[in-house]
Amino acid sequence: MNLRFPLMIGAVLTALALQAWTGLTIPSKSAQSALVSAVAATVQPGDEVAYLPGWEQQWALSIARHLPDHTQRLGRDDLLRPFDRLWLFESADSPGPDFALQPGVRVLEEVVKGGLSVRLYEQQRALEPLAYPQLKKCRLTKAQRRCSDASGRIQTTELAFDGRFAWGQKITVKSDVMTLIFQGEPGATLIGGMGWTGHGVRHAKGGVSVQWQGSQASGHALASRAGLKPFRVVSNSQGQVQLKITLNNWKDGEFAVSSGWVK
Amino acid sequence: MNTFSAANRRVAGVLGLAYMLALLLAQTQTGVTRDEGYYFKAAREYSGWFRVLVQDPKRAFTAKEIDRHWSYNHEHPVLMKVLFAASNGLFHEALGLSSEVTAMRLPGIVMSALGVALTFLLGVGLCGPAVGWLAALFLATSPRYFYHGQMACFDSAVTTMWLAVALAWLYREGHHFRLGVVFGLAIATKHNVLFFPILLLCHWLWIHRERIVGGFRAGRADGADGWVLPSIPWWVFFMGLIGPLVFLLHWPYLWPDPVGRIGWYFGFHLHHEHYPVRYFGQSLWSPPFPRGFPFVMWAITLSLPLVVAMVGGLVEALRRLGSDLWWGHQPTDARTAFMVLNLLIPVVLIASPSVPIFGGTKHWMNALPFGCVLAAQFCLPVILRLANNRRALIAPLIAVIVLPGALSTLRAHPHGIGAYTELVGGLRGAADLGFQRQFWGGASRPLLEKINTEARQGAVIFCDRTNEDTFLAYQRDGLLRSDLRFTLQMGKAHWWFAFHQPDSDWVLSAIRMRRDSSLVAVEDLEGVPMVSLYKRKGS
Repeated sequence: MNLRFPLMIGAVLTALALQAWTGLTIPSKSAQSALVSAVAATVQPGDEVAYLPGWEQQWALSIARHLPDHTQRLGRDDLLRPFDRLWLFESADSPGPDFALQPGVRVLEEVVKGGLSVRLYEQQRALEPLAYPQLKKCRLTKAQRRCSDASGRIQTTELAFDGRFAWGQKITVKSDVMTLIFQGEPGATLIGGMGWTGHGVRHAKGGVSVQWQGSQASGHALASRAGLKPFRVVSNSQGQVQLKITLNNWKDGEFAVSSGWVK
Repeated sequence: MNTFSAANRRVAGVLGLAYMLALLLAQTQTGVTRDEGYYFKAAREYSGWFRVLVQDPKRAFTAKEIDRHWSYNHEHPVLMKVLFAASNGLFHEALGLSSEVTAMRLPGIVMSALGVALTFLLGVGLCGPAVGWLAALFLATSPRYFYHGQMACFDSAVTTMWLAVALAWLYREGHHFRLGVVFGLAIATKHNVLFFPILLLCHWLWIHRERIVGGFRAGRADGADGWVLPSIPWWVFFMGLIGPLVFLLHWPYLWPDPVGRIGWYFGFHLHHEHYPVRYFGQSLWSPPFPRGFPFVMWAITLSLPLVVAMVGGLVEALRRLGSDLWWGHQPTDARTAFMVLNLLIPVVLIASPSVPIFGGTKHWMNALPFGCVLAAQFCLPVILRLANNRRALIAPLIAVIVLPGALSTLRAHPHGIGAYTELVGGLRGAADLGFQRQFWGGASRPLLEKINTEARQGAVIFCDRTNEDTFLAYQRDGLLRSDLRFTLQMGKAHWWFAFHQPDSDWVLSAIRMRRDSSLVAVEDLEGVPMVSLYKRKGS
């Protein structure tokens, strides 16, 4: 009999317990909708909304119904850049980052209902939730969504990282070196994430080195998989941060940056 | 091997029938997949040849007529597709007893039910009814077997046919011709069974290992030719001759140029394209794929008791085989080795980094019945100890062991292709870890009603992974309004589907970035989205 008996009894009991636990922690769709609709009463123009887990479309559906005019963050990767005011909806089984621990961020409102919660965060030091880089003389803006030159192209778009998403810039490097400049205020900090897109990591043909240059120079080691790796760079005396991507003897590398400015 | 009593055969029949009814009922909610759309079309085209055969038999055998009717979807043999056509012709077109989708699916459903019945018989043959029952129920309550069992596809059918060949081989004495025919029908179902002879070769080498190795030793010792090949059994000739003959005869497309067309068929599958798979948050698009893929996928898509018992059963079997090897025993009964090979060979093939892994767990599903039997063997002493000679307790104990699998099956329906079980925290846990839950565009079915109700006359639908053949099948069955139109061009659509899977990430992004799109419905399981429906504002 040896191990067989405890193994099987343990497997059956564990399985039944996990079935019960995963069954009992499913968020209720009506509770999600009620929470979003409750926010609709106090939301202000310009407030951003986000939900976790980022894959859960029921949050998106409720937001589309009750808060159609508010910009949505697309999940965890999209929360690396700063915000002014952000409503963050969370399911009990997917808690998000506690922004209140960050300097200059405070919680203005919090509602917890049946395992679901929403917090309204305000970041007092935010200058620009989405930063727009420039390539040579072409600077991206809200209206100008694409720039290109011989070294490559940049485009403000929704970025895809193997099932995770964020807003930011897709960077396609067409030559050995590509340099982008982020223009902010002197002493401001550019924060966000940078890394491979899903497409980029799949089609990478060689090594890459990434360098940030603001008030100081710093390297940025890319992860081996798609997704954004956080960074924080203080601008130089002209208010600039430079991003330099160097491909080691290959072309058409595709990367993503999602960032914003804070004081 | 035990013989099957009349009572055991009746139980197998009842089990199969009950499972067939459950699948028939379940499939009324399960969406039509891309491949089903292709096979429906193939079935209708092949039907045309049979009509010609009745009207003008001589013309039916001309190369022109054969190519006209059999050229479509010639990358797969046609046994199942001909059965789909026959079922559709009888139950839908002639008798009007069922919808087209149900009629087309019926042969696959029957095959899946037969798989459960045969698993019962394999368990009975090896160890008796209790193992048979538990093994059959382990298989029946495997969420992804239940899903594939509903399809007009080949995956559950080839699982059953592989099992049928194994049983025919185990019960081959006096029935070599039957073994050859069953093998032929199996390779006429899907190419997976072409690996069965490799399994038999491995098994033959295992059985004769002492003689083969001893032959080498004798040759070295006395300098003579001591090595003598063990005699080749008769069944090899029956399988080797009748099998290919059945395969050739069943597929008219091969007749005009058998060598060339069979060569193309092998070439196609040797160089099969790869479709992306999301695995631990990474999209795997091309080889090399992780060797652990099939092992991990089974661990997180089969119920925990089945996983534990299967591993236990395998370890126990390997220990027995190791002991035989160590002590030089030559057991006359080599069933343990046969079972282990049936479990491992399909899995090990998929673990090879260059073999296509798309579609979840279906590519090595033919190993599952053997895993279920080994698992049931492992569980049997536990059940007997707990029952403590009270026979009435055996059935409830078996029910408790298979309950987690049944719950996962129920929770994942009708999107069982995306089922995940306890080890990964169920559906939501798998989504958090970045596992794939959709492949072939079937998930859109539950959202058709919304489009039927709300879409304006002649609205254009972008269906993403749901293909046009499926769209048309829904319309023929009245599941989708006939005035609605299919498009592949996003810009022309009034409604958009976006599937949550690697090759549709760009679709989701493209639709979300449109200023005129609005999310209107989500088809999900426990909050995990399968497909989202967007509508053009103001349309």
